Amino acid sequence: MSPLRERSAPSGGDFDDFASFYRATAAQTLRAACRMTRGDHHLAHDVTQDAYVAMLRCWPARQGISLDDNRRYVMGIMSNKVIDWYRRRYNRNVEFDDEFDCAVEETGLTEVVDELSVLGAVRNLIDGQPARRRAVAVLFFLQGWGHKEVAVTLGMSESTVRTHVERLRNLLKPFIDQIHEIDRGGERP
Amino acid sequence: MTDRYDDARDLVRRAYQTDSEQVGFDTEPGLAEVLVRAASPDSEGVFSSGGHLGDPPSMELLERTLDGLRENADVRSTPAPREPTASVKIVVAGDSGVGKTALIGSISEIVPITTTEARTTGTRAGHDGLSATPDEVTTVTMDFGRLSLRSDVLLYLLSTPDPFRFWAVWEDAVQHAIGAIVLVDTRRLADAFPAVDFLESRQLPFIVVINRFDGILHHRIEDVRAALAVDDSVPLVACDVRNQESTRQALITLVEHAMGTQQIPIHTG
Repeated sequence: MSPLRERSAPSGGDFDDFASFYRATAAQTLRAACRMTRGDHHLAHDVTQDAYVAMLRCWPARQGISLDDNRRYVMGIMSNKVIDWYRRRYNRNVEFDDEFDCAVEETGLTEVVDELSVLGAVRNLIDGQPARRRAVAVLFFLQGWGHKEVAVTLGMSESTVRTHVERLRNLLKPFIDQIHEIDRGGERP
Repeated sequence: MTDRYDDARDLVRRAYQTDSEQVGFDTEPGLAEVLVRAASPDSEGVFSSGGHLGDPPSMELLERTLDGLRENADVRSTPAPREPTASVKIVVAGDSGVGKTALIGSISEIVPITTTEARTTGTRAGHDGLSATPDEVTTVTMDFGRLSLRSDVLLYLLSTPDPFRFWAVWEDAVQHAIGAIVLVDTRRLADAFPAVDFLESRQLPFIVVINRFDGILHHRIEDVRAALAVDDSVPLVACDVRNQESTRQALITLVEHAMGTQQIPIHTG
């Protein structure tokens, strides 16, 4: 009896099968999705699952690739799905976040008195960014990716990523100073 | 080595570490959901397809599926099929330990993706009448297999989880399916009732497949039909689910049955 199709078998390694890969990475991807969706758990769940569906469809080509590479790949799919979702929702034809600084929610920095307040304000600051810059913030600052990786993943030029990163860093600078002050045990004047 | 972004990275990580709103995530149901979505023809908008509880499958699509299943040349010596232009889904239903995983594994071109849970941790442990089956681990969520037919149709096989715990998943699983196999173990026929009831209520074409454990058919097929009280129009076949050819014949029977019924779908909920 001849087989209908020859089975493609795993090529070795702990995460060559999709289920193991999902178990090892899905929670982290979902957490990153929550950051990018400003805490919208339903949307985060949806884009995360869709990202893994897309990953499953291309799994025969991805199995055998390192866990880290595949983790970044699925994170990239998820990030782009988040960006697409916001783009569809707001029907924007102009990519504001590449050219302009959007209005940032008042963070109340002058009233910040303790570490938790500072850290909460940092989250609010990132949540207030446009979707693409928020994705850059999560991938670059939270996940620790490099400029090039972020650029490839999000389909931006490296210089655009650098621009986003620099703007974010400038926005974060007052909070960095503040948290250093708190870490040193200093008090606000 | 540090770089100029270290401070900002530390700050952002601290900010999210202190975020009190943590994300709860249950991996196995999440994986099961991914499998259901992946087997749905419209999940990525890639394929044009149809199925019950959605648009009815076209006769042309069923014919292509049937042609692909009937084709039985040695594919190792022939070129791989072109990019699939359509996909179909067949659901494999039945109680835990009845052989759904083996059936899908016998014919899937990929190593089936299975979400499993050790029986000792299952809620039905000790009172599910499974002492007659030898498996150490039983599938409590689902299995996912795939078969590229040379008629350019991608056939997904999706098994259903324990009905008493995952009815909601059943509803999703049968969406857009062209039909279902109810796999039964004649030593515990009553366990097949929920699957038969569910599929009858959804008017999804299905056949009953008797798993010949150890190659032995313990009861006559007509006795099984009477015990299950299924309509005479529903095909009943015996199958060694570990054997690819036997499984292929069962799938052919199902597609032929689906072509013969072409029932009008009933939308619920």
